[in-house]
Amino acid sequence: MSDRPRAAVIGGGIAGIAASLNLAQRGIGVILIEREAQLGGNASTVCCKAVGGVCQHCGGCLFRDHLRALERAEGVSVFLQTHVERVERREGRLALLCERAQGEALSFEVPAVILATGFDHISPLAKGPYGYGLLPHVITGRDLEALLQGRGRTACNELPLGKVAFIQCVGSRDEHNGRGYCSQVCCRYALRLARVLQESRPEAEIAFFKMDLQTSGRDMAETWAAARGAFRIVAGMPALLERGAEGKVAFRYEEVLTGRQIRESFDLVVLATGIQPRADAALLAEQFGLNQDPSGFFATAPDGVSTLVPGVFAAGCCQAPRSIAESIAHAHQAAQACVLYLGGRA
Amino acid sequence: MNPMPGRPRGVIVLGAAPEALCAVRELAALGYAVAWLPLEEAQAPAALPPNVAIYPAAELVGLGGYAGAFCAQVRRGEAIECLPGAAVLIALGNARCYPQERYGLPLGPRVLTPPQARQRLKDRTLEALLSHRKAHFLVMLDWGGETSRETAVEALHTARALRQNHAEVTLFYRDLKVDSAPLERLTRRMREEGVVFCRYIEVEVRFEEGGVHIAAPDGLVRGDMLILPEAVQPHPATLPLAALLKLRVGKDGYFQEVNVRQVRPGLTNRKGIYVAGRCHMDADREAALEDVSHVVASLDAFLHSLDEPPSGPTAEVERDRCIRCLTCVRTCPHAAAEVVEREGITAAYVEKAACWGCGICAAHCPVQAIALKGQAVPSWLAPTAQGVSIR
Amino acid sequence: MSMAQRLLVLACSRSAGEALAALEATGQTLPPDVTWVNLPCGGSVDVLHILRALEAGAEKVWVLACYEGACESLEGNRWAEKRVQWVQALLQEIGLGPERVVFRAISPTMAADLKAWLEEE
Repeated sequence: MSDRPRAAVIGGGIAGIAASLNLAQRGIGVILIEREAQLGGNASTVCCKAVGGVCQHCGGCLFRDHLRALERAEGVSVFLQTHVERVERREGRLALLCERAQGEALSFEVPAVILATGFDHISPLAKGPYGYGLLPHVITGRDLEALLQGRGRTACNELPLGKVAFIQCVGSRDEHNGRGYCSQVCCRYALRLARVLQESRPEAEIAFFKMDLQTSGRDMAETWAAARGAFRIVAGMPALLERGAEGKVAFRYEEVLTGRQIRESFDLVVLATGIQPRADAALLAEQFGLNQDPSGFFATAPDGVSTLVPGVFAAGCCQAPRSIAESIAHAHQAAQACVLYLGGRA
Repeated sequence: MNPMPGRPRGVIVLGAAPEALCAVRELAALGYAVAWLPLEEAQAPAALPPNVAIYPAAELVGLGGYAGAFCAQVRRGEAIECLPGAAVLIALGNARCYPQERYGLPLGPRVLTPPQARQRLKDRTLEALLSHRKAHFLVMLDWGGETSRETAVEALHTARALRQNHAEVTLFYRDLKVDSAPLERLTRRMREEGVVFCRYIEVEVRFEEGGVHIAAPDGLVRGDMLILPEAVQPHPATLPLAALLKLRVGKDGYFQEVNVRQVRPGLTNRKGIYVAGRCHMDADREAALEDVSHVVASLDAFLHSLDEPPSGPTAEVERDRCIRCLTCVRTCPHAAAEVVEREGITAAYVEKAACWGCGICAAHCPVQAIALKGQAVPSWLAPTAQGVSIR
Repeated sequence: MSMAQRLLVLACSRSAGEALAALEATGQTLPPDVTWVNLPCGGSVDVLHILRALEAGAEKVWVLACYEGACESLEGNRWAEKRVQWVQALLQEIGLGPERVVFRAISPTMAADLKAWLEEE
């Protein structure tokens, strides 16, 4: 084990931790820099979605597994409440000039950096007409995750679960919002969450309003088979949500296949918001001299992990939307590319 | 520290799928000596790196050893040879079939699979149809059940190829899968190029007047040919290989039980044995090759970590108490326990390098001869030979 | 004997143990009459562990392990549940309440649920 760190990982979410672990397994010293006071990022807010005693493979538990492995790993130094202020190139090495909480300055010089800065949730306000924050009982999938994780399954008892509408693609696949892409995770988490709601209130009538449901993969097979029979699935998206009678939420939608215009009201509406580049992605890109793809994610070479700047790699959702499991896999690959780069320099 | 020390280790790659070739190349590039057993008739690629040895006609008859020191027992002709490797990577791929029962239609002059359509484009046997101004192909996804990712993507590419050869193409779908950036780009381009996308829930297909008629939500669509994607199924060697290597197979017949803790790239129930690509996932070719890179990255890090002594609890057998009942051998999910002769005693032995420290064997052992080293339960809880007396 | 009398928890450290750690990270502690024993996996719960806990005077024994499809050793949780069922049958037979031994599946993210269960008990 060398005294000098060989790589820095920026971002302590699931991808950053997975990349650090991969490097540490090889005996490479790692500096893991996290902006917040805790590791975990978005992955740590994912609740367990097991139904009927059976795991639905959402991957929420993998964060804790990784955290525990990180505690045991040798050679990873974690810096919390630290962010990169400036990046300088010094004879082929990267100097990261960082700032810690209370303005303390800190700098690292490393030959390689893995960016694992994650994503921001698309704000449900991006879809103004959906009335998030204005209408009662319009929540996001993320709100529901937080509720279930923070208060446990019993929190379901307090939700109005008579008629529930899940509205997909809130802010994703929406060229008008500059996000023409599919966020990849929302159909999956929404279907899983819907089954959790249904388990605690079997009488709940749950409907999905969608463009195309993304349900491929072995880990979705069980969920999708159960969901198909249990939920009403409507091809058609509401344009405007409004206050209905008796505190309900009402909206009109066109059923794409029949062309029928239908108005319906619901007790609870769950908006499936997706993934967008972090607000500071442009700043980071500028600091490191990276390109961003048209959607704002860090652009990479065809391998999907090497940026166009030598020694700088991208892992997880800062490169493209991914699930927890996919982020972990991608982080391993980024670490591998980083190792090859380090080896090539030796 | 040199991130790539001597690398004396080798890796055994099993399978003939494109993923296997990709894995072989990536591992060779990392400096591993690769022993490649395609396990089936396959065309050997023209050029392989010098540190790859291919055994085209070899039959795998067993796998000895454990992570860091496996030994593939291989029959070549009369002789059994032992190929050493620190890790094993399986990339069998999957198998294809035309699901006639699902579609209720046999293949024929008006019903083709995407590979058949592409072959005819290549042979120019579709030309008669295509020169006809309104040659119209109807491509049907998710009919009678969900089309697999791989064959759906193949159908999309075929639809695009037909369109680029100036045919009219209508693609029927229920839920268009766009959950990967390349797929999104592909479908967008197809729309731009004039492929008509038509959503359906139920359709009726009739063959009339030398054409195919599909009654769809948008009305009746008349075409010349129906293109129906194939289905995928587990590679026929999956089960026998899993049995030989003591690996788990999911209910759906693919490698790995669907287990959230095993999604980390290509893990199996045995340390040092990895699976990659379509033999454990529903993926198109591009995603399958990406998976190979993920798995190789995880495998390479694991092999490096073998330099360090294993941490965490491992099972240890008090060998003179063992009654050789084989319970541990049967119940260990990680194939880490065996009954062997060592130091003059024939008894159970748990290989540390293969042990996950779960303690399943210890809880099963009828004579409490196995304990987890490094994980003590409070003494008042520990099983004793005296048994218990409940008040 | 060094055990609280009310409840003994035999916990898979990968699920229940992590949930407890998450709970403790928020400053909460186990009630004083609950004894918690972490095991590496649900599969290492021995029938004898459960019986000895009852012998030592535990009113109730909980066995907490991963959900089906989430056990790192694939079936440790199944074994744990089977062993609980076995002990329940045994307790039934000898006239003790089978409800004194309980199996529950849990995930590392279920600290709030764990807290609710402990309060309910």
